Amino acid sequence: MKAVGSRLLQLIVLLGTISTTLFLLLRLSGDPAILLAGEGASPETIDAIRADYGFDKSLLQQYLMFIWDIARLDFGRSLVNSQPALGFVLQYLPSTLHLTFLAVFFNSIIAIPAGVWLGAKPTQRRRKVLSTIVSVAQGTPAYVIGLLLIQIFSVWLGWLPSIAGTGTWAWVLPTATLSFALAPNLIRVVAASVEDTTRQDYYRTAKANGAAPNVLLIKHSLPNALLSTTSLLGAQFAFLLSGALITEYIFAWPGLGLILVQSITNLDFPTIQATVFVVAYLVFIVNLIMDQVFRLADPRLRRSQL
Amino acid sequence: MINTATNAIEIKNLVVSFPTPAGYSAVVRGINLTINPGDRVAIVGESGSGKTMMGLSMLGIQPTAAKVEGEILIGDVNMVTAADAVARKLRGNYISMVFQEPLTSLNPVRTISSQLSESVRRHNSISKKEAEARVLAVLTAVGIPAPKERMKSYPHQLSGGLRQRVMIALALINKPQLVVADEPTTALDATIQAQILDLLRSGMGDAALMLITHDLAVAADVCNRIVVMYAGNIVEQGPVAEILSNPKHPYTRGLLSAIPKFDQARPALNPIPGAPPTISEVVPGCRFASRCSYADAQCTASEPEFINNIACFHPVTGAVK
Repeated sequence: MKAVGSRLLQLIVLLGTISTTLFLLLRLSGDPAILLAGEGASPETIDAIRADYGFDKSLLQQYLMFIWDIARLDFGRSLVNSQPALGFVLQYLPSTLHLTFLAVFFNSIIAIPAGVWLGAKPTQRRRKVLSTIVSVAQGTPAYVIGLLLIQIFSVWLGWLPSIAGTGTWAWVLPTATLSFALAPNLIRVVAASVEDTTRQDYYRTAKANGAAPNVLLIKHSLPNALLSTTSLLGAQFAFLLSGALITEYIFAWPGLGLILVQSITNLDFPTIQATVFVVAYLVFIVNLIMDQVFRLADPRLRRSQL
Repeated sequence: MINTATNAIEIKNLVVSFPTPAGYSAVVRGINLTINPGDRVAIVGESGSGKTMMGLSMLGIQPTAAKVEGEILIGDVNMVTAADAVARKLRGNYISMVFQEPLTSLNPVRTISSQLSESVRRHNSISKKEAEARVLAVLTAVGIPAPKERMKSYPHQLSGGLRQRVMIALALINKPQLVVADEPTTALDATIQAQILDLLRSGMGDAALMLITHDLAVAADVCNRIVVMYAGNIVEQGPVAEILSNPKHPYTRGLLSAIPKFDQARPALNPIPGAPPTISEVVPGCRFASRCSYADAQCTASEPEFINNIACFHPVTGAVK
């Protein structure tokens, strides 16, 4: 409970900092009314916006109003379609969650066995395989992979759709792109963790008691190695929630990344704010869940029983 | 199974070496040692004398880079050449080992009970329930208070002394013929050390004990035979009383006089000057010669052989003052 409390405090500080920064940015970039009204707006429109948003009041008053609105989860209306910004953003949440879960799932079932294979018996050849995969894949940006996959599977072979919502298999290419971007790191960390366990004293103890190689791996290496991998999985999950921008954009995947890019392009400040808040909140939730996972998985973090 | 009517283990001309830029260098340089059933043998020597490597290779769990030559005979199985599947059946069953660091030597994410049961069930086809009964019995035997509750504990929840008792329980649980204990009390504080030494002295059942230590006092306390190693060789061996009262090898004498004497008003430390040769160092003659006050031309010209329980050209007689 103490951990939840401290996380909650972190969240409040984080959201406070983000909102203040957003508030200041909006004011720093010139007259916010002109900015909000967009190019070529008539003076009447600008005046109306100024009165509507309270830009004619003092800066402190404006700031307090701004914080008050946010505290009530009122981010204003989208400048593009006049929907309440938060509700508008939340419509895109399920689709981002969908893609995130798929990517983390496929990344795990590919990268974890691969990492275990590489780490369990770090021969010269396996090391070479590992370093090749990691350097090639990590040196290739996600948008290159995404465009390459579209070119091969959608354009040349015509097997898979490249645009979201165009068929049952539209999730495959974006998931593959994200998995490809995340897998090398996970493979590397799993391999290093597994290899590290084979150098531990408890591994030697198990060996001294006659454990066979498969028992050593499954009962002694894996529980410890996967424990140290969990934090990376959590970080990757959080990263996808907030950072699948490019991939969502390439595949026109209607998620938070896409809406963020669009709202920035449109200078749709209420939507930008709402998106940033939703993402910050999601990352908070993920971290909270990861804390609990650790607590359950690692007996050393549980409250001592004796 | 294993025929052990004659001895618990017989080591013949054991050489353990590691690759260095200049080729293989030996840390164990041709050791012959027989341990009889129920024997209590102390292997005494400085760090780097090869005693731990000898212990690990007796179980066949030396580091993968190590090259082991010679014979380690348990019954008619030679642990040096035996297939892993054969050696595995003996490890933790016929021969087991207690390590120096009880905290890191137990798996941190598994309970005491699950780690001990694993070893019992590997070597005996018994049910989970029967295995747990054996775990409880052995934890009780090694003097763990409230053993039923401790079974559910994780290693980090126990004190250092209790953890080492658990390690000893793990070593004893399959009633082995030989337990190799590698500096089992070095990581513990003094009062706990004494308790663990008590346990090693009187709680081993029928098992023979090979106690690896750098501490002659510990060796004399627990064992009935002392084997002194120096730079990969056995330099002297004999019954405890004989070694303590009449040590013949200058190195053994040096070790004895290095023990601080607290009956004096101001105990003077009497260290042996110099350091042992490094593993890749080529030493013609006796490897202790450079630190030995008795050494002469013969000592640096050729290496003394191990004859009549001593490897020295100039054995000394009389007690160490």
